[in-house]
Amino acid sequence: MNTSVEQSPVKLETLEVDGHKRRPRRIKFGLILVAPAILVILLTIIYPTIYMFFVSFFRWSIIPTLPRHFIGFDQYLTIFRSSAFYGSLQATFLFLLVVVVVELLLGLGLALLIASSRIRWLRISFLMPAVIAPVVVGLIWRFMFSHDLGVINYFISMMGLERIAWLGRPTAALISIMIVDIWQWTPFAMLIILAGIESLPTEPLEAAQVDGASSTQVFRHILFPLLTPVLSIVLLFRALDAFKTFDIIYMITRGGPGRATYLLSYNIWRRAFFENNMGYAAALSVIMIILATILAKFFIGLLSRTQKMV
Amino acid sequence: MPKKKSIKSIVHSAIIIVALAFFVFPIYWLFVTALKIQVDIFAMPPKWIFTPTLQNFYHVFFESAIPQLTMNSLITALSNVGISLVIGTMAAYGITRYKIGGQKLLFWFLSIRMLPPIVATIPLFIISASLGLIDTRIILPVLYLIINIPFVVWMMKSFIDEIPESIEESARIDGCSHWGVLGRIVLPLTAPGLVATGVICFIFAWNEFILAMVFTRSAHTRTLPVGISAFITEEMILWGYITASASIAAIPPLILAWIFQRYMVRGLTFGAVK
Amino acid sequence: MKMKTSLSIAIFVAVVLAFSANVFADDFDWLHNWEGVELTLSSHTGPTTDAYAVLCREFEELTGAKVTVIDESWTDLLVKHLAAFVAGTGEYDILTFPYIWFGHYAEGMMVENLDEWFAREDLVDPNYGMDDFVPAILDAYGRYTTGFTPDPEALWSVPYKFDIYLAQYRTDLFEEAGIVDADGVAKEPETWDELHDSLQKLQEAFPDISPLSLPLAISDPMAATFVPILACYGGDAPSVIYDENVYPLFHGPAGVEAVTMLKDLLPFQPPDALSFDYDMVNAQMAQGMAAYAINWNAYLPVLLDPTASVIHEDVAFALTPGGPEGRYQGLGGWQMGISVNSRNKEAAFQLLQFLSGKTKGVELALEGGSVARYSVAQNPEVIEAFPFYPLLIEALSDVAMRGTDRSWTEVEMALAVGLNEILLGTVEPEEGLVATAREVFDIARAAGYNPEESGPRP
Repeated sequence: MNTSVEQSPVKLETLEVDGHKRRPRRIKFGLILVAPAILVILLTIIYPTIYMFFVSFFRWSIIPTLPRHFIGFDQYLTIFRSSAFYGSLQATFLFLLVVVVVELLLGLGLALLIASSRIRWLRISFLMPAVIAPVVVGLIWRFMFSHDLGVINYFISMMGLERIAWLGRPTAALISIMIVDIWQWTPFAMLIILAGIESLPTEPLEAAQVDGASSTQVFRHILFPLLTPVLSIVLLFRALDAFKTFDIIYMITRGGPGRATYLLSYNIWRRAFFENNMGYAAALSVIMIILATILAKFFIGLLSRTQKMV
Repeated sequence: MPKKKSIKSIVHSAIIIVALAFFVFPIYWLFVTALKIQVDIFAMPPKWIFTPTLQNFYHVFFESAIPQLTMNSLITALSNVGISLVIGTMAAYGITRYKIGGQKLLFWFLSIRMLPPIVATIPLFIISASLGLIDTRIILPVLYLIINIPFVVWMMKSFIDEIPESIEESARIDGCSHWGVLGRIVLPLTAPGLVATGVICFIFAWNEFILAMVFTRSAHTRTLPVGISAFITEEMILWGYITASASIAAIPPLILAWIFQRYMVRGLTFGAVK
Repeated sequence: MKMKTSLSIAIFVAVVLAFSANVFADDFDWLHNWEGVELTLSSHTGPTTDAYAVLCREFEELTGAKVTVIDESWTDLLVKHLAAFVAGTGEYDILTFPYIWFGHYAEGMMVENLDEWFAREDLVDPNYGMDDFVPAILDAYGRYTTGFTPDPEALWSVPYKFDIYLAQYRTDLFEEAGIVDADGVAKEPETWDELHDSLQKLQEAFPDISPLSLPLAISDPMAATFVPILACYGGDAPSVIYDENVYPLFHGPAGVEAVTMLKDLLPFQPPDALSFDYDMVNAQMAQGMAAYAINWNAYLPVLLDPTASVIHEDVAFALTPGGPEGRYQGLGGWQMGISVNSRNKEAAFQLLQFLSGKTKGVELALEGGSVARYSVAQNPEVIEAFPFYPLLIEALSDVAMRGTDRSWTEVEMALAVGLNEILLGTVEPEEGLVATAREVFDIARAAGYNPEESGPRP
């Protein structure tokens, strides 16, 4: 990972940028500027990650007076054989997929509505959910979801519908968690897309309207291509953030019922800090880092490609 | 035709208002619950009209550790914001103007921000436990650098990009040193950006939960979100106190977001959308 | 009730004792002067800790020591203690922890062997009253016998707070539904079968509410609810989940019967019962949405508090139901020990005695602590404030416990998930329990225990 850091200056030295040759002094100053940031990240993330890789081959308790012994790939094998891991993985990705798609679509729809609406000034009120601590969000929803005592079911029964056991059935619980995430982050998606719409050049849209194109045509052929860079930003942030969801699980379901909402982050936290099984948690973390890196690579790739299109 | 259009816009407005109600109602419910006594909190049908009580706030303000935790949150967030801004802005300037590392380095920073914090907690916990750093005042500000430095780099890059490079060039010709250009030209010109970036860093550090929960315990170091979750005790969930302290925790970010609304979208997208 | 006569004698004794405690001011002669000593007690947020904090202030006045009480959310207290142990800075003097984590503290040798300290005559409280503790409780909270114990006889800790699963029921609803004894008073179900029948009557009489509320959520509540039921249907109480080699014992016929009973009780509970943590059960009961519930005694004062409960006039308490093998009660709870890294062990030991001793027991109970002492349970003042107190001590005669070894928290999750799945109907009871037992066996092996010495992999 840090190879790019070491190589790039060497490459740049011979490059001509902005018309003048890079002088060594200039480079030196640039390096001084960048070095602290890189150093901090190396110390706080890269070194610990390597250490964790090492721990993942051990049965490892935090304290030395309890067993710590080398067991090689045993923990990885146990993980890949355990249905709990696949359940966790499945729940995590299902959560990620649904949440991102719904937030993107809802956000897009709302942004389109608001962009042409006279109550555009209301848009900043939508920001509220996104700036509140997820812990607080989890708390609020936890008691709103109660079957007998929750306000959501109260509204539902007022409309004459059957009350829902939000947290009591596996599928419903996962959906409940999704609703919370969608509640918190759809406004985020909406505001970004709205900002994207507002920064668009007006000429192509006007030209299309003059040509008598229908609004769906305008959207498909003009608006949507223009919005792809913004949409890919929303995708990147939401996908990676949804992948690491922890707070609302910790607050609302703690993984249940069964393992329905036992998302990866929560799984790791519990293994490490509730069960004092650091080695196992480290092995899970290594797997999670690999998955996160693949996801990040994919979405960052998507982002840099769409950014170039503009 | 105009009539049809106005009906359409009324429908649009109605949809927007319903959506807004959906997004605001839980927050309203939080604040209202904080003003109820326990027996009313779970009353079904809900008590829309009730005698508000300040007893939850009273307890939280005067009989619990919440004021102290609020101070801790403030200190943690502010010191982290300070360090992040210094280190991050320097790096952003180095990357944009001195072309160090280029796109690759920028995306490296972004990918660090994308790592799930839980995976970092395990090794960091083992290491800081052996260094005796758990539950110290410096641990959280340092840990939050992982997330805030990449953010500052990206945000400040987008602000520095907006300054015409010719201004810096002419200053340099006038005999300004490298540091001089940064201090006297770049920083003043990006001042609004610095403040906006700092505010968003602050909101993040203020809301962060998992690292704070794992790395702190005593009332001297614990932050507000951890204190709130501590009201979920082994013995009962103290809903009145939880909602009162959660309201207190929610107010600063809401106010800051309101004041700096112009920069919020840019901030939430790392400067990508202006 | 049958304990009435013994109770009145006990009350008399307790009154005399309480009186004498006030007369002799030299109760605290044994306390040294600890001027300049700083002590730290690590605990969890809640009324118990608040009660202990009051006593700590008193200890400060008596000895000149400075006592800091750290309370935090209980779920990650273990790692905090582990981290402090690794750092070796001695920042905690007294550690409190639930028995489900006992293995980490005893096997990891994080707490002092208290036997050695109670032998120090210069430091011991002459009226400490070790035999005033309910013996079963002292064993449960003090001695560690599972797995690799450094010394099975040693006393590692003393009770800090004991928790008992108790039943709560609505006398008005029971009476209206005709579930009464000969005098027409609401009758508590004494067996699980009887509970099942009563619930049927309640459901017919009050179709609008779900009469039963049990903690069934992942992971701790589910396991805690299952353990005493399992004991009632068989199993070697108090340790019913596994033997001293951590070999699973719950997948036999008793386990199947117990989980089948749980499943039969499901229709009487709200549809989201599988998400019910203790607090939800408590809220359900306090709002009058349930007729019968089971919960830790720590939650019961909420039901009696008019600002928190709409049923505060109509609630009664009872032991949880029994089965063919007896009437076992679920035991939870916390204990306290002295950290081996403490820099002031003498003072810490005196504080530990001060907090858990007989002299302060009643005061502690009245402040909201739960004290496993006969002298406290028989104190009239305590009984007036907390009417369920005698019941608690009665419950302690037959208890069922969860695991205490290092792997319990892992086992608990596996067990809770397995039970949840059986209750959801995804697997049959027998099949599900055997699969869970297999998982438990593997967890024990990975943790370094030797379940294979007790039997083959299920």
